[in-house]
Amino acid sequence: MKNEKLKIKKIYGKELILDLFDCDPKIIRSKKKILEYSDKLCNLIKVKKYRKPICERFAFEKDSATGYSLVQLIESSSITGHFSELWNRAFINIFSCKLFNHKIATDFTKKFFKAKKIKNRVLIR
Amino acid sequence: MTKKTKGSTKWVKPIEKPKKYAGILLAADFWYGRIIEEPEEIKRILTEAVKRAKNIPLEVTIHKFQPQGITGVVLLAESHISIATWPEINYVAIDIFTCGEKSMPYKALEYLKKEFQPKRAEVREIKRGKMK
Repeated sequence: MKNEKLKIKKIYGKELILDLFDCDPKIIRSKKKILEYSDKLCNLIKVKKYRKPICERFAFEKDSATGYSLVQLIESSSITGHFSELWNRAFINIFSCKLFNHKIATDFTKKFFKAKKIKNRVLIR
Repeated sequence: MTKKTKGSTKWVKPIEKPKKYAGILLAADFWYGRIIEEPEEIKRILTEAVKRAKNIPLEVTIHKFQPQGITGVVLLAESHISIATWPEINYVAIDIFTCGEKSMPYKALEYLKKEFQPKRAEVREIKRGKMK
């Protein structure tokens, strides 16, 4: 059949990869704000949280890695975030087998952390 | 483009400096491999993968779903390794996100392939956080 190539590939998950540049320094240094972000994001993209999130600040000799890290397990996979205090950058991954609106998640994330620039990539998995 | 002109010696193509990035993400999809449903075994494998990547593990969180499937994350000093399994379709999704020049994410990937023995593996490399 000619249209065999057009067979729809089944999608098992979607991952949104966000790199945020020039974030608000106060926000990425606040555990309360990072947890608020995780909570609001889960509600916004309608994913169910599983367990309490891990949000810890790790400080290292190597400054670039110093900052909070976030893990929120969700029933459809996980949300992770790393916040670099040296660069005021954030690296966020939202991976879910329940499909979500990545545009809404991207816009919300950029606004929440007041990032001047954001790079987003979507992986279909 | 190299071109001689009257007034100048040459137009020289500027030498492009290699771009630097804060980190690298390997998004690996493993198909039709070993199914591992034991959270402790997953923890052991992830911890070993962290060692192979020459990273420092900070915290591990793993959850087993009922009736099947596991999701877990190892937080690293250099970012994270995460896993999600779908035994019902024999699929494992792994992310290895590391930063730092000493990190060896491909070593971790190699080890994870040995453990899960996928018949098909798709790996995408994503460079993150371009440096100025």
